[in-house]
Amino acid sequence: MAVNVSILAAMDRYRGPIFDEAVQIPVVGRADAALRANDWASLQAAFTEATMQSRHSIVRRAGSMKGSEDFYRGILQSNPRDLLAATVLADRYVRMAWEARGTGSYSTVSPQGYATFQGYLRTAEQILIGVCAQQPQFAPAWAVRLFTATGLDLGAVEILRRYQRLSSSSPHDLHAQFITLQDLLPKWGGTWEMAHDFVWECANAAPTGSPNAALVVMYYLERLISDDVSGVEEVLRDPQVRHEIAAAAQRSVKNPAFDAKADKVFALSLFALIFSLLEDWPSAKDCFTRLGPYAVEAGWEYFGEDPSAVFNEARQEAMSKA
Amino acid sequence: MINLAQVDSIPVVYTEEGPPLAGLVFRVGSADELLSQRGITHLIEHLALHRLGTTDYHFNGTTAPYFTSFFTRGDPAAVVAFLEQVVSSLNDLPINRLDIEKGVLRTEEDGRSISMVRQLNLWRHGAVGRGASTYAELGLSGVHPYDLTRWISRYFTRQNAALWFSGMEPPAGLRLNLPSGAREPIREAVSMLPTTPAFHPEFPQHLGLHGVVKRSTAAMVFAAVWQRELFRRMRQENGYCYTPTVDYSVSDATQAAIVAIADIAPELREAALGEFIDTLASLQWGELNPSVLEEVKTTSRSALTEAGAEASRLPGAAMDLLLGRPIMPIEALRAELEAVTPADLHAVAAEVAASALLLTPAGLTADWAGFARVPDTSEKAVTGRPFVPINNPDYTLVIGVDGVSVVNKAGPMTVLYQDCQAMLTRPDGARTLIGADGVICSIEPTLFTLPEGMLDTIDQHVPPDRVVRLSARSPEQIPMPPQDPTGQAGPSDDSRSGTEPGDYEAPSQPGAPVSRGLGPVARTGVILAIVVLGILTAMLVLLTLALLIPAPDADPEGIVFVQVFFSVLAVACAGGIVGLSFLLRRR
Repeated sequence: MAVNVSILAAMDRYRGPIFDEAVQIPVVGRADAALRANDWASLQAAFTEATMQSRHSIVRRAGSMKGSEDFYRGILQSNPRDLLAATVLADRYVRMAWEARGTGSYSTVSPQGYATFQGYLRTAEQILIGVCAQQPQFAPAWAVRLFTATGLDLGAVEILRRYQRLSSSSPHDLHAQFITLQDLLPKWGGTWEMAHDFVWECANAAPTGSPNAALVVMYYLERLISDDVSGVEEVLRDPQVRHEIAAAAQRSVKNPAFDAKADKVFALSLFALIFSLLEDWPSAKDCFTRLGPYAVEAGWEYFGEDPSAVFNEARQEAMSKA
Repeated sequence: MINLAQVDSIPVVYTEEGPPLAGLVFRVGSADELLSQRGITHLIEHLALHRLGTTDYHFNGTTAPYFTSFFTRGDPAAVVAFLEQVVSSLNDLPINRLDIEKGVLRTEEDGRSISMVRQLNLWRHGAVGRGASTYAELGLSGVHPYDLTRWISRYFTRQNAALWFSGMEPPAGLRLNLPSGAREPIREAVSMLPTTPAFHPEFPQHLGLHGVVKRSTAAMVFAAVWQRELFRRMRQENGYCYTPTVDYSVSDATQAAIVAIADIAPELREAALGEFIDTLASLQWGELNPSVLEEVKTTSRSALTEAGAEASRLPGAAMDLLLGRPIMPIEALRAELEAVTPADLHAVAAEVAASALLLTPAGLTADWAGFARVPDTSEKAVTGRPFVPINNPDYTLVIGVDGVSVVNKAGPMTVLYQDCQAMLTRPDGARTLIGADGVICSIEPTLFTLPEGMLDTIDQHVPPDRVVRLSARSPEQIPMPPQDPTGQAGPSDDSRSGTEPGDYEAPSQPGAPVSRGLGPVARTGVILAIVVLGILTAMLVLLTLALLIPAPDADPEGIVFVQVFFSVLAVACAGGIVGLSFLLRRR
């Protein structure tokens, strides 16, 4: 991977990997700049140009921008058929819903907080029902509907229906699969079996060398940190787990076809983490090397307050022990 | 073409083409009845046909919510004989048949199942008009010959009748000596829903939606398009349901109801609801596949062009005459059909969505999609004297001067006397009041210590024409208070249930569970659990006994501990069996 020298220097200074997609992917960076300038036309242009995964990123980043809802409402008012504006506004409502609720368990949420949470989610959902009716092929809206379905507790079969509707226009959609996996976990009312079946279906359905098999890693990371299992070591010693991780790596990061695929950072980052946990240092080193300065936060955040620090520590160990 | 004529000042529509059929239609039906009169029109229809029972004619009668029809097939002479006999019977009902026909109707009634269409109408219209027509024929028990004569002189009149003939001109010499009266318009439908779109969870394996739209060809086309879309998306592509149906039916001169119903796979019900809501949204906002509209038009077009097309329109045309609607030439209908555009369908979909009453699968909500929950309870309880049932603190009965309330932890259920549509009474003193909104308050005097004259207060306030006297129940059907304060006997705490008065099956009321016992699935589960526990108990007993055989190198204290442990487990399992058997017996 060709790496800009100045980025390497920056990384050295902060001693951390670059998680920010706006730095990793130029078009996402341009969309961010357009948002900060309230420049809707440029945002639309960046969105149109972006890959599907980057489109999801653009929507999510737009939704997380505090106070941006008035801007989106204004755009929508002048053009009620602007599906991108409707979708980012809905995503903004989803974010506002979670801000009102807080991220703690249900018992930590005040009744008023919960009512506000549900209210924002319903608003978002009703906007998205309209968007998906107008343009059933608009995958970014279906992706936000995966979030609303979970918050509104609409059930695993409804989440799978939404995923299927999305995948009919955007097959092997890594972002959608990642959210669906989260939705199918026991913490959101699903089951381990359901989630396990889902990740392997995604892994097997994707063309060889695709990054989708990394979802198997994500699944096991979820198992590792869940309360249902007694310890990280126990899971990692399980020959079945090791076998599945190896098989998933063969389908993705260790497959010759992998280098030609998009969205490599996601897969390499997750495999770098799981190989480090498995103390398979040569494989971990290989992943870290291919990652260069980039990584995704997913997974690393489960093993420490500061995911950058966790990443750096693992990287250092891999480099020295391999 | 459809021709117009008159017979004895009764308007006639006819076509010379088509099979030899004739019909006499009256603008009266079950939706015109008070709940306390339910069944009177149907009873008259049966009695009017009785004397024809032994003839060779092909004939029949139907009582629908807004129309009562008599029809026959035969040559003009047979038609004349039939119609004159019906009218002569209406003028002189075979009253000696009253009790027998009541029995026939009750048997017919028993065959009616609780259906989605009935529940939709019940939730929307309560116990009034179209809503009342969903109830059992409560009025049969107390109906008097005098009531029948009065009903006939109001509704079965010349001004409220229309005739149709196909395959013939109005037969010469036909004389129909109907009484004179006035045209009875359909009373405007009342909605009991505080707001729409609204939802209520109902049946576990069905979902249904009721929408109110303007009568139009576009609305009829919309219903057919919706059905096709539901079939494709819910059945063919996803297997969420088996047979979705969408029905368009005329409500009055200007309005129609569109009702969509889907039987769903219970394990996929959340997805079925999601796809159902998305399908309606697609019809409202999405791009319509032009081939779907074309297919529907082709089917409808052939119905308007095939041989006999005019003749098959006659019954509907006769009804339109009674509603004061013009009879459209078939060419105009064809032109209307061809003119329907996707934009028209969007507009109908918007009407359906805005007026929707959605019955979601049991346990599922639709507030997330913008539907408001229909309240399960009344707004408030009446002021009056409260009574707590003997040995059962779960609910309170309040008897006031304005009405009656039953209050439990879910809230109050109130029937105001002035809104009471029917009060069912039993010789044992039981009173069941049904309000205009369908709320039921049941009073079983055996469960309370009511002061002398308390029931009279109620009887004095309920209008006499709302009282339905039912026959005596057998002693075991009369509920008794539980023996001790923690007992479970007596009515359930759901005040809209426990109202079934013996010889008639009340339709499932809003909020009332269809069955109060264990369902078949739960029952099977309980039986299975008993069998498993039984096997477990036997194994534990055997293990305990086996441990009595001394092993040479065993720790005696350890063995005793294990024996005690197994025994305790065995006793616990046996206890479980007893508990579960009790659950089965409660049914």
